[in-house]
Amino acid sequence: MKYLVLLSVLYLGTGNTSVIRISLKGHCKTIQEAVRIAKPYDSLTILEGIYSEKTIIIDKPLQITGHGKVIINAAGDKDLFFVQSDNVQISGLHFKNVVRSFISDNSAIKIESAKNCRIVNNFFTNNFFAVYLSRSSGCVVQNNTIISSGQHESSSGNGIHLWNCRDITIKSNRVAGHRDGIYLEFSKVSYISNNTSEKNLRYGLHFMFSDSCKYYKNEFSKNGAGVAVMYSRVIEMKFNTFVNNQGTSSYGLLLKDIKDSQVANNIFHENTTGIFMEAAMRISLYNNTIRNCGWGIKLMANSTENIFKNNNFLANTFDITSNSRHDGNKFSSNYWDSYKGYDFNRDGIGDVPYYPVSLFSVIVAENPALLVLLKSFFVSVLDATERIAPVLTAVWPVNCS
Amino acid sequence: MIINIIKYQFLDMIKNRWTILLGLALFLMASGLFRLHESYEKTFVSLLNIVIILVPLVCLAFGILVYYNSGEYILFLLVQPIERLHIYIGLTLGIMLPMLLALFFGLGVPMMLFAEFSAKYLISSAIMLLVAVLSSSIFISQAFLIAVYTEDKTKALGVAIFTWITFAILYDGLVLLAAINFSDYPLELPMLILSAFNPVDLGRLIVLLNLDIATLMGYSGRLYQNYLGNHIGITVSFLLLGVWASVPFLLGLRKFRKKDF
Repeated sequence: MKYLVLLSVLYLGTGNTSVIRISLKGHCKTIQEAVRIAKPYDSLTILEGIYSEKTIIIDKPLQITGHGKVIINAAGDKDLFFVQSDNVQISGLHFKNVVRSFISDNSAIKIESAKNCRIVNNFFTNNFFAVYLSRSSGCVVQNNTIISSGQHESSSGNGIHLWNCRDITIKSNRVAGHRDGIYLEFSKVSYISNNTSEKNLRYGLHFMFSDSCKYYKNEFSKNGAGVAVMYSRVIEMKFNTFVNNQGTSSYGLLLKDIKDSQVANNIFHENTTGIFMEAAMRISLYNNTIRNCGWGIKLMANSTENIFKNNNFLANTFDITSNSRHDGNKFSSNYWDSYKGYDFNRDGIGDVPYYPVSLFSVIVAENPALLVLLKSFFVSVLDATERIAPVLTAVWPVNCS
Repeated sequence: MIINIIKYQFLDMIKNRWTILLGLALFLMASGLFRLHESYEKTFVSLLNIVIILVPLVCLAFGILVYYNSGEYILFLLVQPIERLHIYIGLTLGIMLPMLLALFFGLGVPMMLFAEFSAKYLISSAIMLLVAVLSSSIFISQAFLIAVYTEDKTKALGVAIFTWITFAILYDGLVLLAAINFSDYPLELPMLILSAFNPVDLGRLIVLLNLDIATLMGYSGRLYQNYLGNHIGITVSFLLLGVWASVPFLLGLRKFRKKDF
């Protein structure tokens, strides 16, 4: 059946389609008009120029491509492209200035209840929302550059926004200056890879109630928080880089109410907090490198049954803090650069267990003003005594390799 | 006359080799640390402990030993027609200068040898050196103050060690206690003010807040950096350290002028 559909699509594609050229000098001057006269599976080629358009409703499968510098300015106060059909392809265009709104989610491209759409090689500047997909599936958003200059979280939209979608691929995009770089809500089985998401006001990538997604090889830098994964299950997070997410409630990776997921081979570098875990359960964290962070991992007491294996903790001010005195998580074969024990039989595994939670880190977590004592001699004496005879910190013997 | 006293004192200090030894020890430690750590920021944090913990202790002990060992020399000077002010200044500077030389050799040379050519590195190392210089001056003038006020060498050493323990450990313990007791209040500013009353804490904060470590520590860290990490903050805290050096010096001088030897 599937092939039959495909064949018929191919047949249609080769049979009856025509190419409509849109240019400022030609007889078809607006995209609006071209879309209106186009038949399904036609190609629209937009030639170089600056177009000013109101909402364009695309309700048939079309292939829209830009030739040269095609700039489309939003003239209305609603969405720019509103796609309501399957198999729409949009590429090589430059969308600009979709207005901010507090009532509707105005976006440069909004795709509603559609399948197999492709948004490739476009530029988006200074839009409220850039790409907005809702109730869609099988779509691809690739190689787009999405830049905005949002000032406040409340008055700016998301770069790529998915609502109630399935099977979406978001690949090799660059998103900057939006509220959330990429946002997924109620979206399942999506794949997000090789994107760069930076300088966004809130999160680089944000999951809400989105299960079974994967994100690989992305880079998140200078966002409010790198990635927030909330209320989701079975997420795979691998080979990503989380850099320079700094600020008080700033995290490289924020895990909240998330279960059965994997965090592997990521690099966390110069974040205020590398990983923040709250109500995170059954998560495997392995092969990650956490380096130069203020707090490597903040692990709240309601996070249990997590496995930390083969991670590197390098040059962090505090490796781990927790508000719990009990150890409900499993640590093994991690490298801790602040380990002070010895390895007598030289098997690469320290002979004295390592306690990653230092007394001072616990004190500072409760009383941030005491940061004034950071690296003082008194604190090293205090930490040393606590290490010999733990009274206040969690009893967490963690092996060192 | 002051120049002559400084010169003799200086030569005496060089002759007894302790300053040379200190300079060498510092040099070895500093270059070792530079080799061990991959980032200079970590090296600076380790160096910081030497600068604000070890240097004060050495200066205190040194100052007192030198003062008592040159007791007869001081008496000899006192019978000459020289103003006591000049004698005191001469003695203090005569021990401070070789100490500063030792610091410059022990810290400054490794800093230059392992230098990274960035503005940040230059600023951090300049601040570190300045803190080292000031903390040695502070504790040498304190040593002289203690020595002038006490008759007995052992007693003076005891007081000196207690002074060091107070500044290096006890004070921070009290700060911790205070912070825990008043944890319901916003404490960032009071903590900063409290730390200004301890030259060891103040020196540590100036160096740390210019190393970008504190910015990683969230709100409080950023707040501290806002106060101490800018030009005004740095200037004010160095001025405070200057006050910390001159007040014991003046007190010691007052006693020395009136003292009945």
